[in-house]
Amino acid sequence: MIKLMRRGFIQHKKIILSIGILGPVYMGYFGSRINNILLLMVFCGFLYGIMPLILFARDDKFKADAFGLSLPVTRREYIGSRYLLSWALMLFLFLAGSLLMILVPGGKLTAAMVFNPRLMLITLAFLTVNFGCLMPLFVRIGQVGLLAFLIGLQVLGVLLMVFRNIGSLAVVKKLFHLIPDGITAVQSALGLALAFPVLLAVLALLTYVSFEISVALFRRKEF
Amino acid sequence: MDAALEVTGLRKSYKGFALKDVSFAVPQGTIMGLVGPNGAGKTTTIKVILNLVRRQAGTVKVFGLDNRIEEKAAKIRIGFVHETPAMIEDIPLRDIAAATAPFYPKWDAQLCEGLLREFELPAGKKFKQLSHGMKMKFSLALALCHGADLLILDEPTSGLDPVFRRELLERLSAVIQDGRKAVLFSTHITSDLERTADYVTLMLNGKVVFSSTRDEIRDGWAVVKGGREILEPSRRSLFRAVRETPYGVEALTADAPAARSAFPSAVFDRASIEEIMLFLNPGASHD
Repeated sequence: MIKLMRRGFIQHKKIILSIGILGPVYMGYFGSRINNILLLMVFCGFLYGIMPLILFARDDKFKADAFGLSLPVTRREYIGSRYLLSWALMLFLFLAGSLLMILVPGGKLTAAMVFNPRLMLITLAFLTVNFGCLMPLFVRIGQVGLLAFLIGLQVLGVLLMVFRNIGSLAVVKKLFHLIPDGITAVQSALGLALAFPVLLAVLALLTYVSFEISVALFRRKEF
Repeated sequence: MDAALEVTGLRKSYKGFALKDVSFAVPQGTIMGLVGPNGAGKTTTIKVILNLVRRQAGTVKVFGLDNRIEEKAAKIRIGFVHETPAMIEDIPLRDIAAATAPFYPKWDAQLCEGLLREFELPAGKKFKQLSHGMKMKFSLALALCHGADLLILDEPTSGLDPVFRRELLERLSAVIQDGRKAVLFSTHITSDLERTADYVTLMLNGKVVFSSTRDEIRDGWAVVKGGREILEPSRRSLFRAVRETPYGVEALTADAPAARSAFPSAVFDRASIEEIMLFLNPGASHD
């Protein structure tokens, strides 16, 4: 798995470096300008969750998976290395982006706000759910399919705006509040000290389920 | 001779095409040519060997290792050259080699550098800057660098200039000199086989027609030329295919000695692999 991660890093190092620099800078600036902290968390979770897929889309674009799978590796390891590389990248973006949000001059966020454990957990939860859903989808339908899916989401967003008078936006708001409300509920029930590791374990479990689904889908793929 | 590769009863169905009980074995120290017209099932067979496509039935053993149960151990002994080599295109060859090397304990960095020089492939050049022939050479270099015991090459000579094509075939012959390694290469260029292959497996429409040594093919297969009387029903079973010409009948037999005693006055020509392919698959296109 480490060899595959190393291979991924060598093959995509320019892109990783670009994302690693531009991603946090962008989020740092964006975060320093925003008032709605929940919107910021959702946006972070969405943006960071998409970034690793840019790397794997390159494998898809260049049809490089056939050669990759001819190496002495199993498909499970192949997907496992993608999850590990993705999480390494996403955690870096998360930490570096959060740090820059408070360092940008004139920013509205303080360190206490950005590194608040509850908010960090909410961001991680959005990130886990977003990446956990996108990765199996990407494995199944590839970069073109994923692009179509994301465009579909945009169209859906526009439609929701158009039909907001029939309450469509309220439904979406409720959906986005599910995660912070759930975290609040667990915190109230268990207390912050216990809730934090329990919720992290839940996120790890979600990632594991996503990984198993991706492996099952990848095993069905032919090259 | 122990088998380097044993393929038994492979089945794989697509819409409009199926591999039907494909079986053959490549003994150690030999080169096998997998030949057939386009669409015969050569590439699909190779992809099943590498687990790039799933099969409905059958087993593949690489030096006795099941390629599904002991996938990594089996693949570590294989060097593979794809018919259209595809890698991340915007990185230099040295990076591709560096990313590939750790997977193989027997990777020889010096040999790799030497091969890149010999094949005139600048290590700093990006993969996308290579022509098809150069990509083939690079893939071959990677396959050779880790001392693969079984080289599998899918149409390696297509797109190569005649000089390198001959060099490649000579190199393949050199690979098997130690008597332990083996080469399986698919092609539809039958002249490559006549020059290099010890064994030939002919595939048509997803089936193996024969898998034999070149000597067995030379001695067993023949084209019988004569009048219509050679088609009499009692001896028709000697022929695998028949075609009529303005001057009489030409028939393909897989049992030349029996046909010779049955038709002592007929004319017998050696059946080349191309001739066999044309007889058995008259509509096929090949070089």
